[in-house]
Amino acid sequence: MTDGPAKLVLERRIAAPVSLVFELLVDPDELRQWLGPRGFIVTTFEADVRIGGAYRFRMRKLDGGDYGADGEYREIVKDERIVMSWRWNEAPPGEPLDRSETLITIVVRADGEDTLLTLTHSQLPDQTSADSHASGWTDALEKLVTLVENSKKGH
Amino acid sequence: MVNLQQERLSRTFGALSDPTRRALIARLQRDGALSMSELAAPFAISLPAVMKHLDLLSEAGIVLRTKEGRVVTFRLTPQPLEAAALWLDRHATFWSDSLDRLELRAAAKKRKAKRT
Repeated sequence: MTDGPAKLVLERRIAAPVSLVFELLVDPDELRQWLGPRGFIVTTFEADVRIGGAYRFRMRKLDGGDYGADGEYREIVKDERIVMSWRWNEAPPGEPLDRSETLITIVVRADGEDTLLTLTHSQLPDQTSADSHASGWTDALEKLVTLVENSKKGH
Repeated sequence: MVNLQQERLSRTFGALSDPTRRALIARLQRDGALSMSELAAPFAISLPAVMKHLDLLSEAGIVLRTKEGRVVTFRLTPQPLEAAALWLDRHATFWSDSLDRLELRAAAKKRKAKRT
């Protein structure tokens, strides 16, 4: 077994309708506002939002250092799901850069007046391969992910 | 181009995808070094089956096996697990923070839509 099921799953309930949330996920102007961790600003988000279309993302750490990623859209189903490849392509000098292709899947669905959003960042670029491995995904790592997520929520 | 770092990471996640192997790791984490028979004792599965799991963990570089006389001892090598945790942590931070901002943005847009 050489291709393991590395997978990060985050779930959120967002107090807004699905159509509004989906718009934030596909509009480059919106993505520039929210994509990226605390302490970073997005300097570039350009996207050809259609299946097979490419996007380019770049962010700058407030205390210095540029990071970039690119990829393409694999699936876009309005108000349902987006699947895109993701590959880091830039890191500040001296920082490790893992250029391997990974996969982001974002699924949204309505729950009452809210939206349930599930984001999966998997290490496997190929969707079918990711699906076949999904059952092998470990609760130990999920716990680790939950821990990480909860600690982030805490402050 | 073969990405060594990626391959190692995949191997670690693969090794972690089995409950018996995770239990073996947890015991080694708690008790330090253990012999094969000590490790196999709590499991309902056969010794050869446990050995197979330990082989896989050892191939993935997660456990180190040493032999003293007739006793084979296993202990954890922290690096692969740390690398896997780091991968998850980095991306979890990225996406968790992003989704925080997405939530705020959605709330702001919803308020705006209501007003107009």
